[in-house]
Amino acid sequence: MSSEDIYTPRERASIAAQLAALGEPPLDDDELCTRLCVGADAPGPVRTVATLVSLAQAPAQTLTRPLSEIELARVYRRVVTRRAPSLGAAAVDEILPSSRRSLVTALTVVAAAAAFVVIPLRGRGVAGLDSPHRRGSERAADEGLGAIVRASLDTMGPSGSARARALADDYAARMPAPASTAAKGGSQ
Amino acid sequence: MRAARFTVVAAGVALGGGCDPTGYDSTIPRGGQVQADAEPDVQLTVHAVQSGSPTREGLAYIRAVASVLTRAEGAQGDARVQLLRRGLALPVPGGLGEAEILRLEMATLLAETLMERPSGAPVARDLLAPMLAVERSLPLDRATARALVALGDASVKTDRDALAAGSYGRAMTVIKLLRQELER
Repeated sequence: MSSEDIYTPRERASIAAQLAALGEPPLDDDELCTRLCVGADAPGPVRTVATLVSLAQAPAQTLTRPLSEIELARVYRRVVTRRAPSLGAAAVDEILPSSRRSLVTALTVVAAAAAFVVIPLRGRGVAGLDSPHRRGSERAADEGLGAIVRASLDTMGPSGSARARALADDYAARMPAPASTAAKGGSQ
Repeated sequence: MRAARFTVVAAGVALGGGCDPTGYDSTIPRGGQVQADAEPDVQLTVHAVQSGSPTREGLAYIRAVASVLTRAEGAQGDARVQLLRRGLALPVPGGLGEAEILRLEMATLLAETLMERPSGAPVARDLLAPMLAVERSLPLDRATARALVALGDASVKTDRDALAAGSYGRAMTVIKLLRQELER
């Protein structure tokens, strides 16, 4: 799979332009694909990935004006560092699922979370973060954080009745054999 | 059987703000309810789940809860709520560490069901918040992470931003610790 399967030329151009504005080196096709699809063992910083994905979605949105580079960097950072300040963005890196499929799933969720937070703020700019509308951005940031955690939880095994049955099976397996059975087994 | 017990104490805003080279200002004044809701508390104390010697009573409890969860997952609305409330009321045999996990599983499903109701989110939050209070030691298990996420969801729906962020943050820490356990 190449990044052309994921992004339209316009989206790729948007990413390139925004990265250039950020002073970041351009991503070549392999690197972009690695970040999105194959980086299972060493996923790139979530902030970068989320920024990329949200940038790629930007052309589809009706924006009053695009965020500046510093505004964009701040928005996603605020999602994590403001809502779980002691954890920081690095914690998000650590909890992300490591399998390829999970990574893509996580990226989808991160993208949704980033878009959820970024897009409502784009029309207002950074000043909106400190305005009365801030309340809504707090909620959006929390929901984005929740989406990130849920994406990780989904890969952690069964829950509910499946988990309870597994516990019951494990517990039953550890039960000592009844005395009659043990005696029968010993005589054989 | 392990008696491992450890505490993860968050350094709070100072650490988060200090690491932010973009100049994130943690002193930005807050308004209205946000101000009253304080900062997120991501303090977390966890303990390894204690699996004691299996007993017939313990097995009967686990199987009863598995039955409750199976029936609850097949039910909807009030029927599911009633089943789960009865499940949570089941007496727990002494020394059954697994009961902590099972009770969290039932409470999480109950909270998620309550949140589907128009005014169920506060009830869900009030159900989970005492079970997951920062003062309590929680089992180091994915059921804890799921319950914390449900508490976060209920808190978001009831505009308790700090509790929501703190719950999600604590869930992240539980997941991180579980991953570290797996890598050992």
